[in-house]
Amino acid sequence: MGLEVKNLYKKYGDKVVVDNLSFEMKGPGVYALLGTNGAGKTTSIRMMLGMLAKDGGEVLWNGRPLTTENCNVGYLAEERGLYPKYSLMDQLMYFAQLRGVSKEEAKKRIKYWAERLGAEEYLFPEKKSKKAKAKPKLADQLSKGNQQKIQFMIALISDPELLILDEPLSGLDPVNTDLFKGIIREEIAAGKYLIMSSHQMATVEEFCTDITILDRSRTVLQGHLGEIKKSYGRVNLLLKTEQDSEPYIAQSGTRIVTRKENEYQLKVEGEEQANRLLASLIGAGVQVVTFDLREPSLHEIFVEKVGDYHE
Amino acid sequence: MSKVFKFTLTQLFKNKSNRIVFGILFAVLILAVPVASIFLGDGGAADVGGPAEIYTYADTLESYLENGPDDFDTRYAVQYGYSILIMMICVFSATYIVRAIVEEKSSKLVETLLVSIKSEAMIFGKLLAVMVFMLGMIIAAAAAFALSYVVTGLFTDVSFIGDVLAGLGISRGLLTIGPELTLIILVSMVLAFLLFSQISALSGAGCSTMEDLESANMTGTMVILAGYLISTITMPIGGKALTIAMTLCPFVSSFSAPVYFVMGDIGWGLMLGSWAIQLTLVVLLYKVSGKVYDRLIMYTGRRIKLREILAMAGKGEK
Repeated sequence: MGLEVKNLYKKYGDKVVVDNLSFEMKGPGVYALLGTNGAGKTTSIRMMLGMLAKDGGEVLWNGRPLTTENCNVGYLAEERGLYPKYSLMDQLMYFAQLRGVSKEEAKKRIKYWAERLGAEEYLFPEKKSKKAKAKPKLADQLSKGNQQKIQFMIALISDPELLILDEPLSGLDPVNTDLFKGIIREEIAAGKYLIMSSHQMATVEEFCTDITILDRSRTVLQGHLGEIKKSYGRVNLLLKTEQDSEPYIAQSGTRIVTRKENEYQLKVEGEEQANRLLASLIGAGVQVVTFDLREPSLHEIFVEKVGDYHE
Repeated sequence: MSKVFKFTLTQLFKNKSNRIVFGILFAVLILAVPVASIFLGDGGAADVGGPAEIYTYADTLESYLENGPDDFDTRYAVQYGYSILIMMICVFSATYIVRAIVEEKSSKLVETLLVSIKSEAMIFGKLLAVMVFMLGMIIAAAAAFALSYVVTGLFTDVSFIGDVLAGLGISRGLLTIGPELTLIILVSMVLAFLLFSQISALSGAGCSTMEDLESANMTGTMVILAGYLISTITMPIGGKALTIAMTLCPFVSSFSAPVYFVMGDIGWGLMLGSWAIQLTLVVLLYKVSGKVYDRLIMYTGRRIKLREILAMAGKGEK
């Protein structure tokens, strides 16, 4: 059961913008939709949520077509905003009620999320200010990061079972990034279904178990992130030595990607080649400080896949 | 839709500019009669029961019709007065609706909203809220004027108002508002509002930035003005064929039909026919809107003109 996206297809005129996208989430977890700009991620999300008509395919939630009536969806859009001149509390109450949350429950949830996200001073200024009649702030009086907190609250206010986050961390400072990450972790732990679209590969790698990489409307890579990385083998070697190691690296046939003094990022063909290099370094009396052999990062896989396709 | 309606209405009442406009209008209407009595009245003491006499006089619709056709001035004055009222309501509403739609699009709220609500409901909830707000304003304004009239009448002679209106060709009988007339005005106003507002909403849906607001607003206003001008020009002319055409022609009939009915030029049959055509057009526009909004609501780019929007409606895809 869970979420099934089957052969999602969309074209504008002759231009195909989503070409038979299919993926499945059998249970709670985090699924990443990755892709270059204009690859079709946001269009796919909009079709999944019924905002855009599909030219083909279907989206099922527990075996039935996904609608916001049969699935409690929270959505943080990439193109997000707030009413600039309305009070934040009014806006939150409005969105909560649109999602079917009762007034009393909405008040409780707003209070909870305001505390959790550190947005109390904007929503409940009387608590923070000594003034009895401190005015609540309007959206256009908040910084971009603080507006994003309110938008995140809107996505979470209905306690959704399916949460779709399109570039959730873009534009946030490191403190707020950690705050958002903490909440995303809590949502995962609570057994929610999350779909995340992001260009920040490190973030995706931190949360997602399964991925789809799209490029120019087509799926170029799909599967379990761990399995995909495993299939590439351990080909990244971080080497740090006390002495210059370049001659030994050249001898071993490994390729230097970057070098900063005696710290090298190397590309190796496999574990055997890496072990040979290590043996030659030790044999030559070079003092090895770091020898870290890893699978490629998602960033590298992404660049390789999308680059391949472009070529 | 009810949640959008409630939220929009609340924000309309909370809006500072709206409250200021409302306050000024209320103050002007409260002061209108006493101030006018200083300049236009004879300053004499009021007769007992005098002030309310004109407006509380109850008549029936049949009695108007028995009076026979009114002269050119009366027809023109009644048409002009009613058209001005409808035009003001529709232009104000159109401006608000276009602004609300463009604001939602330009502030990138639409996607978040569409997760919870269908675009047709989103727009229609707004239209209804603006309609109720406008109706509230009219009722409050009328109440303010009536209060001013009655209170002023207790202290001074206010019969000059009747004289001024008589000078314009508007008789006491024509000012009498019975249940039939109330129904006709109310239904006609609601239909006119829904018709012109939907045109404005469609025009607003083609914009994506606040810079396009003026041009989009202009489109809606031009349609309203066209209806207003045609109705005021054709009404005094009379003639059976023209009367029927103006009664049934959508957009113009919003201004003309109720006045023709009050003047006794048409009967219930044509009046109901006119409403039916307007209602069909309202429903048709609602359906068209459903298709168009979904296609345009997330559109960002140059302003799409109303002509192109209507052409788009036939295609039906989002």
